[in-house]
Amino acid sequence: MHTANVLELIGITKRFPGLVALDQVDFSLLPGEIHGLVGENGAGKSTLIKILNGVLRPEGGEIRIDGQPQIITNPRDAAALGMAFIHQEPTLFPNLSVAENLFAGRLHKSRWGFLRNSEQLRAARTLLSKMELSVDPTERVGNLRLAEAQAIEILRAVSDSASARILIMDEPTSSLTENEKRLLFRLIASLKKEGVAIIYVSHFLDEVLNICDRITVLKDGKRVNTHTAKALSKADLIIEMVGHGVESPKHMGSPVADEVVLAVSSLNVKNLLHDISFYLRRGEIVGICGLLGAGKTELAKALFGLLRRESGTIAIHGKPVDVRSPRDVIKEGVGFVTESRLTEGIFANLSVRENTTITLLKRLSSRLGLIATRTQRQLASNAVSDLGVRAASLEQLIMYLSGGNQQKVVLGKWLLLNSTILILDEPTRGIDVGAKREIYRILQRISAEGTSILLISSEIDEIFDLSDRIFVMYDGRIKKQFARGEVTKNQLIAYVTESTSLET
Amino acid sequence: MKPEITTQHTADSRGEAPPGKTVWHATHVLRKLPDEFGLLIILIGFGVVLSILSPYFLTLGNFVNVIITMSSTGIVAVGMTYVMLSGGIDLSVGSTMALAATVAATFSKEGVPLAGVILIALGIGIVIGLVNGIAITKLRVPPLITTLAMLSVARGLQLIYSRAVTVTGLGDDLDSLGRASILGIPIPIILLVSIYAIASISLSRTAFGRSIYAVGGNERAAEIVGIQVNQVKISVYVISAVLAAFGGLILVGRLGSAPTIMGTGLELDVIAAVVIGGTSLAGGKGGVWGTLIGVAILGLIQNTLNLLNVSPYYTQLVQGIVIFVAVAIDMNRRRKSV
Ligand SMILES: Nc1ncnc2c1ncn2[C@@H]1O[C@H](COP(=O)(O)OP(=O)(O)OP(=O)(O)O)[C@@H](O)[C@H]1O
Ligand SMILES: [Mg+2]
Repeated sequence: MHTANVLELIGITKRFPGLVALDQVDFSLLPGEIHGLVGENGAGKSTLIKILNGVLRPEGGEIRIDGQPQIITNPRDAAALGMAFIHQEPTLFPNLSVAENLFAGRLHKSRWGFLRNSEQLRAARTLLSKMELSVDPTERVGNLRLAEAQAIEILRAVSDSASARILIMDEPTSSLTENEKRLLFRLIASLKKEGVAIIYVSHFLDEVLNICDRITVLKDGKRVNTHTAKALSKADLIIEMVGHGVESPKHMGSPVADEVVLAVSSLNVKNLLHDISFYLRRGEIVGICGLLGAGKTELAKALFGLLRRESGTIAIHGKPVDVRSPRDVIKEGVGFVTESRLTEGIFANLSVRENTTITLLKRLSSRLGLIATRTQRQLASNAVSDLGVRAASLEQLIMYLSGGNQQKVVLGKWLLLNSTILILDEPTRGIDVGAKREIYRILQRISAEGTSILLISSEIDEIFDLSDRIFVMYDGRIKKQFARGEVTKNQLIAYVTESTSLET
Repeated sequence: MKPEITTQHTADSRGEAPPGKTVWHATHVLRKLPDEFGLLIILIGFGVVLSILSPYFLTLGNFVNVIITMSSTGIVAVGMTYVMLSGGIDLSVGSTMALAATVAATFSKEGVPLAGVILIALGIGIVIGLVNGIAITKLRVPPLITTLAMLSVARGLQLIYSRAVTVTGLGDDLDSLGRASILGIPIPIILLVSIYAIASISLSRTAFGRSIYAVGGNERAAEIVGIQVNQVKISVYVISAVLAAFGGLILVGRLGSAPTIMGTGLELDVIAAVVIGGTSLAGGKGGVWGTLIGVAILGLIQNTLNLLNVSPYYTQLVQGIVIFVAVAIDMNRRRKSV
């Protein structure tokens, strides 16, 4: 226990208007250690990381690097101290290329300041191959899938950590599929061997228990405990995080009516989706899984009028619908929780109240056009307590909520609309264990009440536990379909990851 | 969704911030005040300095005078606030005002009654707004370019129409729009106040108003929740052009003529007022009351420089500096309160 800490936090305190986000938090990190940081949504994990990055200043406490007290006032200080960061939401430049993003701030330049393009592209390709990413380094990052962007963010930090000794990851796997997760863990292992110390924040507790040496639990801004990971069970960890146990969801096999509510036939989207045909019945949950690039999100977007169909028909409640924009499907009672909450989900400048009820604006308006604020507040407050959103008040701007709490609001706004068909793309991204169970329960309840759900997720557990039928997508096609009980979880994982076995 | 508290922790530990954790600082209370508060202080501070500089400043007559002078700019600024909240910009307001007011003035001269004259002006506003809005949404030409082109086109039309001659000899009823009073309150002031009140309610309490904030804040997300983004955008340009036309009518009524150069450079004053008022150039943030204060600050500068007999050459210089200082102070205040 006498190896010197590379990083030590002593009594870190951070207040925001109306709450204490961090209360006297101690934390230490050894060289070559992977230290997990877990806690419910809003527990203060990202706040701690932002303090290390110099984005936020603590009101109290001390940061020591190699035993020396340090004051970090901006991200450049943090970098100079040898820290590299992967943030919860990708902080990439959407208008720049993949290569430029990977090397942002340290572009390959000649002595005269000209870019060494070919050299840079080569370096980028080497880096991309570490996560087996098949993206073109000249592609604009804005055109990438969310998981790809997250992988780029990881690679940028990792390549940075050639010089960095501390790598800090805030939910790096939240939108990755099995394949990238596996590669990320391999990267992490090799960094560990080189002596890089890693702080690892995640809501995937199995992951955390597997790869971490020690685990620190935060609750309501306080450090509850720090454990050796080996000596810890998942159940105990959950009890410490949440304050009580959380049982696994049980699929009750909700009654599925014969009535088909959504029928898709021979849907094609140029280069992305090929010959997709399926149906969804009333009260049914259909889970869709597949690797990165399989076309899951693209399918959701095509159904919601956000991608142009080349051919194919979509019938909703038995009626053919010419889907051209989200409005065309919303009118028919379809809702869509998008994968990327920052760019497609939240209205950062609006309050929690307004974000939750934004889908209901018209319905809440009186004949004079005035919004019934009291009803609005009531609805929002119900949704917020239903989903366990942690906010200072309903009037707090959503941008000040923690990532997981923002996600709950994004989900809530569609639940409020009482859609008959819900398309959910990674609905529990960044949501903690306890709240996840809550959301599963809500989904099971509304499905039992007749709502049909198309559930897209990179989390096999989620798909397996909730779905009445499961589709495996690969290369823009639905390659396999299973009814509930036809596959085991391990078989399903095998089908998803060994996608080559799907090529026939 | 029915309110359903499924488990205990939903009810007691996860709803709002736990009461024991709430910290009340004096600064917290300050932060609760509306954003416009800081601006108001700047405005008042400004007024104090001015009243020291010129004894005439603090008289009722001067106040009424200032408000009347700034009424048409103030009305145009309301429209600009709508546009900027939606994430756009409208450079064509000055030309729109000139074209609509010039045409309306000639009709008034021909004896068309006020109602007709107003309809003509607003009709021109609607057409210009629709053209702007459709070009921006359907043809996807950026607002800056579209409205810059419109600035030129509308000005050109006005010059062709009027042969670059100031229209004089208006009908009495148009004159009275700028000069008469009801119950002792000048009509321009009544109009100004009503338009701000209506705009404030429409922006904060109606579905349309909130949709503007949504579109300006995150257009993509707005589209996904089914907000008719194009319709919202077209509407704000129509509102802007209509209010520009209306502001033109009031100005013409006040001046008793429609000079060809009217509205030249107005867009800059108006944008400045809106930005001083705290509405974000990026959209999605701000409101009309801030704009009103911004207009007042600009109006005060001009008024004081007049009262102090400062050469008009200096007006621009001083105005530029004040805009910069006001916005800089305000930005810093806001940043600190995050
Ligand atoms: N800028 C801010 N202003 C006000 N409150 C804030 C701000 N940033 C964070 N908070 C609050 O601080 C608390 C901790 O947030 P933080 O983002 O650290 O949570 P987290 O543990 O990362 O949660 P998640 O798992 O959801 O990402 C939350 O209640 C959040 O609402
Ligand atoms: Mg977080």
